[in-house]
Amino acid sequence: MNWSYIARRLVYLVINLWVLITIAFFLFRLLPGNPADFLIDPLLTDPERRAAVMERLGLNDPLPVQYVKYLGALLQGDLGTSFRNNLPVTQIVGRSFANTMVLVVVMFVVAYAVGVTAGAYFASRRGALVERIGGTLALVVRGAPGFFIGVLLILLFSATLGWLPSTGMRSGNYSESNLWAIYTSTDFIRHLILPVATAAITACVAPMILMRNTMLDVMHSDFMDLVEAKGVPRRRRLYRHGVRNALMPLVAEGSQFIGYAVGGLVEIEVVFSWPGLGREIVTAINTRDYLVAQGAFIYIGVLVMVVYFVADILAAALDPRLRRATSH
Amino acid sequence: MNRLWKASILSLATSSLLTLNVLTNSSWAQENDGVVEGLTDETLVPPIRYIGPSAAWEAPHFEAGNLMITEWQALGMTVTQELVPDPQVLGSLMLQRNFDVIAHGYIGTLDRLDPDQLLSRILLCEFAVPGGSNRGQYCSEEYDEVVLAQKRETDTAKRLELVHRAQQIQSLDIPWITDYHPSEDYVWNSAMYGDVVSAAGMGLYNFWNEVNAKPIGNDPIYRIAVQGDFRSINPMVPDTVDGDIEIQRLVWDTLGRVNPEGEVIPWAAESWEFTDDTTLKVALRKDLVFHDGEPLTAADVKFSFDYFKKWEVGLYINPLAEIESVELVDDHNLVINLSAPSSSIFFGAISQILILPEHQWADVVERESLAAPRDWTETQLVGSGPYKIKSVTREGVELVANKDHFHPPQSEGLVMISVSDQQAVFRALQDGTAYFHQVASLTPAGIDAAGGVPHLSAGKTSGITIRGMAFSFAEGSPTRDFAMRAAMAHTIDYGTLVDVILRGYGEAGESTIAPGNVTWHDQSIEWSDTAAADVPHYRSYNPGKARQTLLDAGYRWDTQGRLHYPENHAPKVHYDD
Repeated sequence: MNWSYIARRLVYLVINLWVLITIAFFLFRLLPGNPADFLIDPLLTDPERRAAVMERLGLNDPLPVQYVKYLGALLQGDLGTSFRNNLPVTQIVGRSFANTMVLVVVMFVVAYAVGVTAGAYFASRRGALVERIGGTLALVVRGAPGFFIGVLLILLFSATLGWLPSTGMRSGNYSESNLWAIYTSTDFIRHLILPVATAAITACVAPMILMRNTMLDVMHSDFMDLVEAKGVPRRRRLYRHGVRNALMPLVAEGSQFIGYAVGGLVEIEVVFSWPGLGREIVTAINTRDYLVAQGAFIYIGVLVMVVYFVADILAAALDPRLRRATSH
Repeated sequence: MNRLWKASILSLATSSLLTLNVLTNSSWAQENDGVVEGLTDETLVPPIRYIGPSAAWEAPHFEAGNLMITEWQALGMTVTQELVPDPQVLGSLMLQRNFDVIAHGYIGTLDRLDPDQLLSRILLCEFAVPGGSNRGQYCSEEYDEVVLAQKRETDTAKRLELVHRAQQIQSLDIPWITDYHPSEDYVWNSAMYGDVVSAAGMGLYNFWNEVNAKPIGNDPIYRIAVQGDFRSINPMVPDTVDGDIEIQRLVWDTLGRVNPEGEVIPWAAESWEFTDDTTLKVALRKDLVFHDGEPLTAADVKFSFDYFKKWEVGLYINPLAEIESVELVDDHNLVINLSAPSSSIFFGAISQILILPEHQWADVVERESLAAPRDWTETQLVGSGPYKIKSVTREGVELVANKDHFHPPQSEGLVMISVSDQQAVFRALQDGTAYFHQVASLTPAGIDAAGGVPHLSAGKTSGITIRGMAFSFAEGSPTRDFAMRAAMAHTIDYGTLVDVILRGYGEAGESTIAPGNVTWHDQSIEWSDTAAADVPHYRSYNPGKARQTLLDAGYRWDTQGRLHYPENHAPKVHYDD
């Protein structure tokens, strides 16, 4: 293992993180409006009251001072206190993050399972009618907005058939705090189906097309001719040699997928009122709860950076050529 | 003879000249259409600076603004329109005072059934200070005198007269125009709940429904969908009325409650009486018990009043400002001393101040090492109300019925579910996730769609919310002139607004005290185009009358149709100047 490669990646990660934190800090403060205006009744407000709220929120300090204080607290693992809920940001964002990750992981598994399988199948049926229809359908679905697909699924499975709920993560029992108990309950799984289906339908297209194209390249490559010449059976040839090589680009794409997925889940979470990070960001921005918005932004940013980092290491581990190239 | 001829010719010539002068004189021209040639930009009425909600924030109000602006432009005014995405940005813009007309409104809440807030905070001169709630900087001695008098008047009949007079002055002086009052339409799952109780301005989103509605289906839990997140269960946090207040008022009792008819009735108090203008004797019920079994006594009431005041909890600052002190008489009796006679004490402190257990809160700051009690994040808080707290999360709040309460709920518990938006509220009702919804959380389309869902029923109460516009009285603002406001008052097409834009879900605006507030609304004020200037009346939609009003005040139009001030214009600020 090339440790200097890993060390370099870690340094880049830290620098990127600092840039992200700085952008998040100043970006949300550029929004028009003021957090105090979201906490006080405009009818009851008098100037002294508003000023007192601003003071309490620490918004009277000059912006650079607020920034330095924020960085100092961040180094101690303190993301601050929500203006709106008066709770630690880590408590709010942490729980939302877990709810979003469940959605992301399940969606990822479903999307990739369906996408890779379908892509391999279409590659083996190149030129057939089923491949042409499947390809067209995939592009149409890919172009449709996620919330549109979500609304269609809600209309069918929730409003018309009444089979599945369309709101929230569970129907009650909010006092249950054990995440395993929550995420494995039947109630939760019923609530999970529609959001995952919505996200996976659009998300499976990219791995499907990539898998199909990559498989076609791999199947026509020289080493596959050699494998065939050695007398390896077709199925083994396809799956042990072909798919394994075709999976490489999907590993790289998978890391990007995670990033897009978390960002793209915002609309899914709003449509289904899923209590995740995306919906938390929307609420925080709408109410100018700067610290929650920043905290959520940071969580997503760290997640994406860590995923890219792991993907880079994984790619180097899977492909000896990458390891030799970076060691030089 | 020659002298006679000369005199005649001279008279004729003079008459002709005078006639010619009159013909070309603007005053004569004004008697016809007000168009005058040769006007310069010096007399041009400056652009009207209009700030209002965007379509995304509040579509009906946005459309109402467009209707009016079209009329103003037809009158020759230039209008610059700034649209804002939410009330908070609007609040910020209000502070800058860079407007002539600002469209906004005030949601009807139970405490606003008392007329004081909506009479005083919007238009009283003392609130016309920078950052104050009188955004247009309206100042009228006559109005101030009447409103301050009603604030102190404890005789209901006399107060009613004063409240009516205040509304009449609003209609005469036009510092504010209410465009419309949205109706409070509601939907509920009638297969799961019966005996529902609607309240003025709140629909089914009210304490009485949450306690008295009866479960008739297979689920004994009262489920309510609320748009947006739940802020905090901590009663020391609220700066404004929000969804969390609705929950807090279920967990903690108050001395009085506003009933569905809009009257304050004794609740934790058994009775009360004024011994003089500023001294209220209160007798507590003797069966009050906190959820942890400790008795609720007068000491807890005094503690609560003092505690909320000491820590300056935003929502309660104004109600408590009227209270000078609270004295204990014994375990079940206390005396509340007011700083001055007040007519709004019952809608204020009596029905709003939550009774906290002194034994849980008295030392919480030291015990938990907090800067202030609002920083306490504990959710298992003790109250004495008809519901107890089970859990508080980002997804929702769960309460359990307190069957030992003197007025226990019909349901076994209550769940408040937090959802993203109005569409999600409707879906929650449709798929049975919720049986009730928060006030004003359904679109007209949602209410219409509910008719096609078998288990949903709809109902309606008159709203007390007001949506309108405030005029600027700042020096140099065109709307400082009464004639301009009176003309603009004739440019609101109420028929189109109610029938088309609101689709019938509302009524034409009438003062800051809505018709839905049947106790305090002045029914005597008529709609009229011909009433004399000193007779209280609302102006009907009449663009011709708008133009005539300006014409009568000396306004003129150039040949391009642009509106100009009268010659030597000096604005007449009030209707009786």
